[in-house]
Amino acid sequence: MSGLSERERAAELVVDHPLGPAARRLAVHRSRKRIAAFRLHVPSTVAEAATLPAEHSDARVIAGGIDVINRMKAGEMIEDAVFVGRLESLRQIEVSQNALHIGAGCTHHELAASSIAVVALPALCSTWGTIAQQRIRFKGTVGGNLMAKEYSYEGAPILAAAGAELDFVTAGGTRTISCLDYFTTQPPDTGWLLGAIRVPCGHELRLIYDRSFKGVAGVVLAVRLAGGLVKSVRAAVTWACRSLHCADLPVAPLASLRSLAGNLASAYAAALSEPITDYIASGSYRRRIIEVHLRRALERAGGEQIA
Amino acid sequence: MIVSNPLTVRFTLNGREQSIEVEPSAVLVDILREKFGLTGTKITCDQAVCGACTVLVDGRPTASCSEFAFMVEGRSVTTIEGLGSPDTLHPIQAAFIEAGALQCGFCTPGMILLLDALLRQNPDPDEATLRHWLSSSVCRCTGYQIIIDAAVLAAARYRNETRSDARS
Amino acid sequence: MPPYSRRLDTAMKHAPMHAPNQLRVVGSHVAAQDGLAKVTGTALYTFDRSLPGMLHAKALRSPHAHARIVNIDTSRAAAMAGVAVVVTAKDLVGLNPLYGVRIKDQPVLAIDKVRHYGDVVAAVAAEDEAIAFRALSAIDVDYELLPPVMTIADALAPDAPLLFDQPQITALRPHGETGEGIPEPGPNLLYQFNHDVGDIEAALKACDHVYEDTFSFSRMTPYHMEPFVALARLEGNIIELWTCSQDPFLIRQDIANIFSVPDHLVRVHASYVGGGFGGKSFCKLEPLAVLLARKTGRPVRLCLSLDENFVTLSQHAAILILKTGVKADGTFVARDARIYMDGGAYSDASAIVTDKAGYRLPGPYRWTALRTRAYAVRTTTVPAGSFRGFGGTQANFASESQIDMIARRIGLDPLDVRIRNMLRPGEFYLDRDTPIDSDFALGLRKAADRIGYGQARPRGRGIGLAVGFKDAGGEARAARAAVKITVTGRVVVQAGACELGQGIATALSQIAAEILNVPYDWVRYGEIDTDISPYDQGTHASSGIAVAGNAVARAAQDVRAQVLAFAAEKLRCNPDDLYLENWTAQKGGKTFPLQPLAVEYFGGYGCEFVGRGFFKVDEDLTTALNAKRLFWMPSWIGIEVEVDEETGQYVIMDFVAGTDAGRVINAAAVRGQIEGGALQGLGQAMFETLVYAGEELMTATPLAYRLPVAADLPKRFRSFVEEHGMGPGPFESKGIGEAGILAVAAALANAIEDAVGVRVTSLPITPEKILSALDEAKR
Repeated sequence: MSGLSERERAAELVVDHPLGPAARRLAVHRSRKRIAAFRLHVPSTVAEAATLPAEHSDARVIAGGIDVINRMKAGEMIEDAVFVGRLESLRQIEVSQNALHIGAGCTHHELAASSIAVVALPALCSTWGTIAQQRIRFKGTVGGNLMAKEYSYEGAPILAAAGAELDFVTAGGTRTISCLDYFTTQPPDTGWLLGAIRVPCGHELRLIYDRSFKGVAGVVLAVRLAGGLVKSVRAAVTWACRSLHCADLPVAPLASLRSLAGNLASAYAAALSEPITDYIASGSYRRRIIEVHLRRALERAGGEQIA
Repeated sequence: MIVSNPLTVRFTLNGREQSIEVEPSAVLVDILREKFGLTGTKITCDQAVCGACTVLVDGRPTASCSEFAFMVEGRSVTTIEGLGSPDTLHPIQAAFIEAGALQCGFCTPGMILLLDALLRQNPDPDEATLRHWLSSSVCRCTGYQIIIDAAVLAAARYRNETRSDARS
Repeated sequence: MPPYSRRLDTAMKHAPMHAPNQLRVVGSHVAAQDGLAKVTGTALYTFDRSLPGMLHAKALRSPHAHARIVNIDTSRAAAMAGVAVVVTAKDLVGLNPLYGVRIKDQPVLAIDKVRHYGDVVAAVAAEDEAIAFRALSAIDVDYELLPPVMTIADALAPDAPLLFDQPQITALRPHGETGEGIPEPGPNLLYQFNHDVGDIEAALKACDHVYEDTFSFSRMTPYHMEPFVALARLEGNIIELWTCSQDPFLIRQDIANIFSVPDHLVRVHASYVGGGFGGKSFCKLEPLAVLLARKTGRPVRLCLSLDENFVTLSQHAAILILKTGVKADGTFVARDARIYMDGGAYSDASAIVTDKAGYRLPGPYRWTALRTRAYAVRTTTVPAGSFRGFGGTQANFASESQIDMIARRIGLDPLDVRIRNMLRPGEFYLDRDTPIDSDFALGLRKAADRIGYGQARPRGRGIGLAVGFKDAGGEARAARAAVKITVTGRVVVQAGACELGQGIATALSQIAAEILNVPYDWVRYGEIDTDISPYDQGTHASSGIAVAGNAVARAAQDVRAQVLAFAAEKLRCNPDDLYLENWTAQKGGKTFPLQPLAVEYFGGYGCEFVGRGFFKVDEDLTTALNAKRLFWMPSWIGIEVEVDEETGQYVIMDFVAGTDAGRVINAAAVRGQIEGGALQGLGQAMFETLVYAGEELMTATPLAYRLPVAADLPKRFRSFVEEHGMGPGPFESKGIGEAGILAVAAALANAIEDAVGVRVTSLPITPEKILSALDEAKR
């Protein structure tokens, strides 16, 4: 009885080191029956909600609750939960000062179907309508998606590419930070309650996003135009990196994006710090996919008409 | 703003007003199955992935395994038992039987409610829309195509029924 | 001459009005019997059952792949309010605590060691699950970590740590002349199956080409939507159990053995099963539920989460090394193969799956010589056991991939090569086993035709074909059935085949309705209770139609004969002068309702007529296993794929899957089974897999485990069913439950090679692997 040859060993699935063992060790005992008792707070205004941290510094916001409930089933102990799901002021969508204000409590569906948002930023609406699955779109909120800080969620890359800013509500007033900065720098003390997401709409926004390689890699390409001229070109990565990657590309006329696409994409991909290697794909493969997807997105953008 | 424990939740369940006393941490699917004995709603993944626990909350398909009971305060909840009964089947239920669109049946209540939400919003969905919506519910038995066929059949019946309701 | 009796079919062929083109119910579009209950949410599964005073159980599971248990302190847990009992291996003293198929090595609770992440170490029964979980947290287990054995290579390395250091309890069934089964042949080897035909060395020497290729098959989790659940209670000295198991009678036997109680004091109930696919075959956690019920004196419900199911049973991953020799014209000559099945930590059904992986490897083809060595390897991973396809999926992936590879290497068309070597209907399998009972070549041509095989395609688009092949119907299987007719002519069919969604309740009812010549909705399939139901050896091996179906058919014939004899006596004629129709006796054009005759005879209250049927396949040791095969199960898969050569991503443009049902009992059920199985196979081929990275189970939660959803369907997805009329079941039918999943992965790999000229020999077939192969090809 002989062992396996070198070739036979290679035939076995070999995968790189895991992510976060602690959560997986607990996984086999995960259950909604493990949700520990908590104090429920239901503020009647946003201002009331924002004052809470003084008393219960570890309080957790529940809007749709998808992520919070998931964590509680895995055994995370939450003593205070602040339910903001019924606060109408967190669910407003309006345009003011050349920006679309999206209440953090808006569900994905409400944003995608909003008659105000579809006029202000049609590309954002149509892109937003494709993320997650239908049932989650009815329940998950834009704010909840961001605050979960899951690298596999698409909300932050899309909004960062669109140049969004985040307005946090505190007892002392609103604190604003760009979406990109919130996820890539040590955020200043913004407070814990996200009130709204503001996306500039003065300039036309075009979004090109190929989601076909879900779970492996994707690139959101955001092109801003004013009067037919390209104002900014930004690309953000989905799924492939543990931290948010969003970078500006050189501004160039739309038509020339096509011919520059190859170089721009390869420079962008090369500059990424190592994409994730996991049981689904390797980091080097993800980098290649990012390059190809970005190149194709730039070619598409370059081939589009200037309305 | 701190809420008492237990708290009172008033909601409509399958068309009837209900008032229950629950802990804040009570999960909707357990209330439905254990308190109300409505075992038609199933639990498979307990992670809002598979759709077996789908109920309608104000007409929206909702993963009841991941919905606290307090979240349905003032809302209307519909389970499979509230959609139709053996004597008065909903068109989707009838279509599933006719098309043979179920096997083990464990995903079926959630699948039917999901389709009900879709048809009320879009009475004539194309195949792409159906595939998209149905991706919220996992079926391990059928391979989905036969469910899509049943949905198309149900949509046609549903359109006829709502049309005749409008006329009458 | 096949070992099972064909007299059944003959009898039915000669019965009046039962010529195939006059079937009224079999083959008709009838609504599934359980449809109404399931669409209204009123169907009860074991998952839905509860009893007053019921306790809820949860299992404490090992976080380590391999460790010695030094100490377990349950005192804090046992003292908690609401906790009725905490059990560990200490509570197994006096019991026979091991179970498994043929080799019993799996303890009800881990005794001295844990052998996989998720292995059950202790269990709690409490007033509710929340308390049970809190009690689990309060159990302290001291482990002494042992080196893990995570892969087949790890297990077979010299000086590999051993999972077991003592031989385990073994009771193999005898193998036949050309086969051999060896329990525990070496370190970390659970089992070995040898299969030898002809002179392999001489045959290989006589070949024009010999190729050796290695294939790697992944493992899936069954992901049945209803989790594993069991509810146990004691009534006096009777153990009563409701379980989601596919095998209520086998569970009765296991419980009786484990607890040393006579089996007539064990009663097992089956309900609708929310999916099985083999994951609910054979003993699982039923003994634990019974143990807790005995300890507490109260009913106990043990229900696993889906996460727990992931660590309870999986499909076998495998490595297959095929050295195949052919002639220049593509004639198959010889195959020398080694198969390593990853059996995981415990035996479960690994011994018999390994037998089948080895025995199915030749496919529906002619061979001069074969040497197959198939091993079940022990690793500190999820126990692998019964799963749809049962070794056939692994074998088909390797064999049907290699056929394409060899054909292309020697410049022949892969379809032609298959047809050249294909066994024809009536030809013996490997010159001695049951003759082929499907026209494999015909089915393959139909699949090829539907998928547009042979039509020119641009670079990047390709077509792949594959033939799925397995034997089915089980090993020397037996089943009993009863058919009861009430005084109004309504029928209750009793058998032990569980309704898992495959439609067996409906099909068996249709068979009875056909034979008794009553409307389909006059017949119902009764609930399964081992006290009352006739015996069945388990709802697997796709044996429902051919085994239970034959028993039901015979029972129906038996009761029909009784009724005709009764009517003949009442009508003072010969039974041969009569036939039954809708519970009337028809004689010379006149109609005689039976209900008044029966009511009159039985004194106003009525009674029932009961017929009984028995079917068994004889043991036969002239082949490799312990009986001849009952029937063969083909699948024919055609895939059209489009590959993006820059990324390796691919889209399945068209997919067709077909099988032969012999005779279709219920078309919608057959379609559902083919397509459901095909999508499972396709999911596995593309992405679905249970993954370990080192010691860690990566796909440990439902969020992390990707399986096919509607959006994953190919652009075009369709199935077809053939009726070649050669099945051993009633009306020439046979089972098709496992057909759809067979050979799908090979068809996809073949299509990709056709499209872009590269071959992926390991599952899943990911875009990254394709791109790597394309890069390699460019170098």
